[in-house]
Amino acid sequence: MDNFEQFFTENRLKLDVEPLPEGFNNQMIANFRAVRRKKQTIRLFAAAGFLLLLVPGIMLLQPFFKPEPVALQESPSSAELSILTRLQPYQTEIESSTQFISQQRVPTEYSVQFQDFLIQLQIIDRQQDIYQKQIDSYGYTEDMIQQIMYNYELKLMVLQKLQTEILKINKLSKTTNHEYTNIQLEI
Amino acid sequence: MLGNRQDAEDVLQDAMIQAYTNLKSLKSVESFGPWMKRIVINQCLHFIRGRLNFADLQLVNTPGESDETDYYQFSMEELNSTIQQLPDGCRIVFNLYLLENYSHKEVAEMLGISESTSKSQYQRARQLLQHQLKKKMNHG
Repeated sequence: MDNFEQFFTENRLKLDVEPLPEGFNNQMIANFRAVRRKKQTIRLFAAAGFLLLLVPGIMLLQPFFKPEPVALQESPSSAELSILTRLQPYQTEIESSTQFISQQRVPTEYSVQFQDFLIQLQIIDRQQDIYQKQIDSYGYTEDMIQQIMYNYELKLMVLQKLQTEILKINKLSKTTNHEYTNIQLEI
Repeated sequence: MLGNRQDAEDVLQDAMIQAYTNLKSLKSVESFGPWMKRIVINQCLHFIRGRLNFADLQLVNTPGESDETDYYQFSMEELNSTIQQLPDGCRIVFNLYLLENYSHKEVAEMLGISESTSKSQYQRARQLLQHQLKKKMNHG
């Protein structure tokens, strides 16, 4: 590198008559990021707006797109029979378990321990009522059957736990000399 | 590089749009300077390519000349103004090679010329610049 090149190489930045202001690069990056954020916000609002339009749209169109009932128009009785056959085992078991529990008497002092179970059962029954209303309006759908079966399984599980708890408490109360007043659980 | 403030402002604006559009290609904040510089230079080249007289970029003979000039006696404004007076073709090669630190190979690729043309144009710019500065020195 000769004298000429050395001079211009060393002074290349000074040759800018109007040098960039201090922090120019940082400011540019900040501006770019602001633009990117703005774009992201616009996309977010667009998506939110789309959803806001979509949800009421679906709700408005819902009456026109009722879920297809499983019950075949040609042979409703056979379809219903098939559904009932699938649900029957659950119903029988629930009935049997409920009957057993309702015949049990538990010490009044321990009745609080059963409250949680009873609340859970109430919630499950309320859910069953909701399903029933939908069945009344739209008939059975495969999805609905699955949900009812799941609800039945849940109810059976709670009933079995409750049953175990009752037996445990009753066994415990018999081992003590204390005289308990017993009550029947309102199930 | 463009020798005209208005053109430079227009090109800078285009470069900004290019940068916004291609922001994803910026790999890290640290490389922002060189990345932006490359975009601006590319925009400048795109701008001048249409009006650049490629006849200017023909091979020229460059006889060697000893140089004992003290360039520090000139102000930066004087030097800058002398560079601006160089013909477009060789001024751009001079700017890219010496001031922007690109190799002759890169300059050749950018301008679509051969490497030897880039070298000869640089030599031409250098001679013209030295000649002009010597003239100023003698008159001053």
